Amino acid sequence: MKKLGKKVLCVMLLVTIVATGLFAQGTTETAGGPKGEKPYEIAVIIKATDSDFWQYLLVGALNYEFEHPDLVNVTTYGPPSESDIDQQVAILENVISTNPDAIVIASTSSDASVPALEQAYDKGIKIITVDNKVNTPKVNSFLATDNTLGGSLGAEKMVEYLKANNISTAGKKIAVVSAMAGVQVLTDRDNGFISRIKQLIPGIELIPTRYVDNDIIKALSTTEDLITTYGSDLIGIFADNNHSADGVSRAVAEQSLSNKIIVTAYDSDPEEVAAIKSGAIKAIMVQDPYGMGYKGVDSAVQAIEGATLPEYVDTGVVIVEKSNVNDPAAQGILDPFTMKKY
Amino acid sequence: MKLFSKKNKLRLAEGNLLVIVIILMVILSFATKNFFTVNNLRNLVRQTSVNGIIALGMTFVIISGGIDLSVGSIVGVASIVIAKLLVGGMPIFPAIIIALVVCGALGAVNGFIIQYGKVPPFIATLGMMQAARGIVMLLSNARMIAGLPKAFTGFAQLVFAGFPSLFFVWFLVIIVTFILTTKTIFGRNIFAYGSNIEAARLSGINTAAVTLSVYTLSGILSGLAGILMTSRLGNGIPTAGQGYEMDAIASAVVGGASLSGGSGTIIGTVLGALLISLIQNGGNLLGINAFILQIIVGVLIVASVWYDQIRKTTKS
Repeated sequence: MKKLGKKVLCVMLLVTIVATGLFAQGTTETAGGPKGEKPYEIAVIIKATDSDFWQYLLVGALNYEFEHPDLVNVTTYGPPSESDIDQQVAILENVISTNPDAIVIASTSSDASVPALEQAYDKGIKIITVDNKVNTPKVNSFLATDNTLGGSLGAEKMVEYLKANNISTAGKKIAVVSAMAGVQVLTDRDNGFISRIKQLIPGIELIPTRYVDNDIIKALSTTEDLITTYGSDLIGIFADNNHSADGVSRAVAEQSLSNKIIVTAYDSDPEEVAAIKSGAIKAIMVQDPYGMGYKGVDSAVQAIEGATLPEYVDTGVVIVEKSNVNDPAAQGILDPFTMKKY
Repeated sequence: MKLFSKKNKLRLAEGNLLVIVIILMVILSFATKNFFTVNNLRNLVRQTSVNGIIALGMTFVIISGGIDLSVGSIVGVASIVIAKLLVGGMPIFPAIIIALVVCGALGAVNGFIIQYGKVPPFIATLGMMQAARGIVMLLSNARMIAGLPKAFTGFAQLVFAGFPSLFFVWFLVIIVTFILTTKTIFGRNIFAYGSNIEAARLSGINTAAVTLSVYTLSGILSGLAGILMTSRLGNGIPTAGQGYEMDAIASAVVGGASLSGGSGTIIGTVLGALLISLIQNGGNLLGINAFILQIIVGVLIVASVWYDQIRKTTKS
C-alpha cells in the first residue's frame, strides 16, 4: 500500500514536471509581443486585494471597460496584502508572459518590479504606473496623487480649525501618527504636513512620529498614550492613512477631546466618514483611486494608439469636511462603489 | 526534593517575571509623571486585554506541545461575522454565540487535521491562517463593515467599578483558564500530553479529545478577542488581527511556556502579556523611538527563553 502511494506520487510529480515544461514551451512560442488589435488586452495590477482603496481603483478600471466594451478587455490582478512585494512581482512576470497590450500597475516597491517592467516595455507592452513611482524611465506615464501637497493641505486645514476653535498654539505640541515606516507615499504625506505646519506655526513642537503597523488598535493605544503623556499640550494630530486615522479619531472621541485636539487625516473609509460627521476628524484628504483606475486604463489606450503621454499626471486630492461630506460629488469620491456600472 | 518538582520551578519563573513587571512599573512611575494615573492604568489593561485573551488560548495549545498560527486570522473572522450578523439585524446575544461557534469550529478543524491527518501543528495552523483570512476577505469583499448597533459598540467603552469592561472579560477568562489548568483532569491531561504523547496515550488519556479541545478553545478565545475588538473599534475590519499570533506566542513564551510542550502557566502568560504592553506603553510615555522599542521586545523574547534554559540546566 505504502509502495503504491509512493509510485502514485512519483507519477504525479513526473506529470507535473512535464506539464510545466510544455506550458513553459507554450509561452515562449507566443513571446512575440502584444498584438495591438481591438479590443486591447489591458492588465491592471493593484498593490493588495485586502483594502477598499485598491478595490476603488478596480471599480474605475472596470467601469472604463464597461463603457468601452469593443475597445478594451480589462483583466485585474493583485496579491492579498501590501507586504507581499515578491508575490506582486511574480504576478507581474506572469502577466507579461501573456503579452497584454498594456499594463496598468500600482507597484508596491519602487525597485523590485523594475527588471520585469523594463523587459515588458522592450517587448512593446505599454506601461502606465499609478500611485507609486517606479525607478525606471521605461514607462509611458505615471498617474498619482501629489502626496507631499496632500500632506501640506492637511496642515493648512489643521491651522484653520485650530483658529476656528480658539486654540492657542503657543508652546503647544502636534503629533504625527503614521501607519508604517519606510513607505514612500506615507513619508511624503508626513513630510508635506510637517514642513507646512512648521511654516504656518513657527514655534510649534512636533512630537517624534509614531508608527502603528497599519493596525487600528495600535493607533488607538498609541493615541491614548500620547494624550496621557502630553495632556492639554497636545493640540493636533495628523494621521497619514485610513487605519491610523480610525484609531486616532476613536481615542480622541472616547475622551471627548474633539474640540481640544484637532485631527486631520488622509484617505477615507466608512469609519473616517463617520468621524467627520461626529467632528472627531475635522478634514480628510481623499485621493481619487477611482480616477487612477479609470484614467489609468484611458492612458493605456492612448499609449497603445501611439499618443505621447505626459510623464506625470496629478490625480489630485479632494478635501472632505463636515460642510461638504453630504454633497453628491463628495459621495462619489468617498464611496466609488456607488459609481459601479458593471 | 519538592523544591525541584516541575510545579515549583514554574512558580519561580512567575515570581521572577512578577518582580520584573513591578520594577518596570516603579521605574515608569518615577520616570514619567503620567504612568501611575488611573487613566493610564485603565488604558494599559484595556490595551492588554485583546492580546491577553488570545495568549491564554495559545497557552493551552503550547502546553499541549503545539502552536496556533491561525489566531490572528480567526480574530478577523470573528470581527466580520459578528459585524455582518449585527448589521443584518440579529440581536446581540445570538450573534455573539454564532461568531464564537464559527471560530470554535475553525479551531476544531485545526485540531482535527493535526490529530487525524498527522499534520504538524505549525503547518496545519499556517494553512488555516491563510484560509481563514481568505474567508474574511470573501465575506467582506475586503471592505470595512460599518453601522453596528450602539448597544454593541458601547460595551467596550463601559467602566465598572473603575475598571474597563474589557478588563473584566479578560479577568473572567483568566479565572476560568486558571481553574482549567490547575484544578481539572482535563488540565492535567494537557500537561501529560504535552510532556510525552506516548506515555499519555499508554496511561489511557484520550489524546484525540485533548488535541481537539485545545485548538477549539484557542479558536473560541480568539473569537472572543475579535468580538471585543470589534466592539471597541465600532466596525467589522477585514484586516483585524494581522500579526497577532506573534504577540500571543511571545506573551506565552515570555511567561514561561515551553514550545517543546508540557510547561506553561496562566499567570505566567498574563504577566508576559502585561510585560509586552508595559514596554509599549512605557515607551510611548517616555517618547522612545518606535524602532528601538521593537528591538527591545525582540531581545526580551529571546532573553527570557535563554534565561529559562540556563535555570533549567543548572537545576538538573
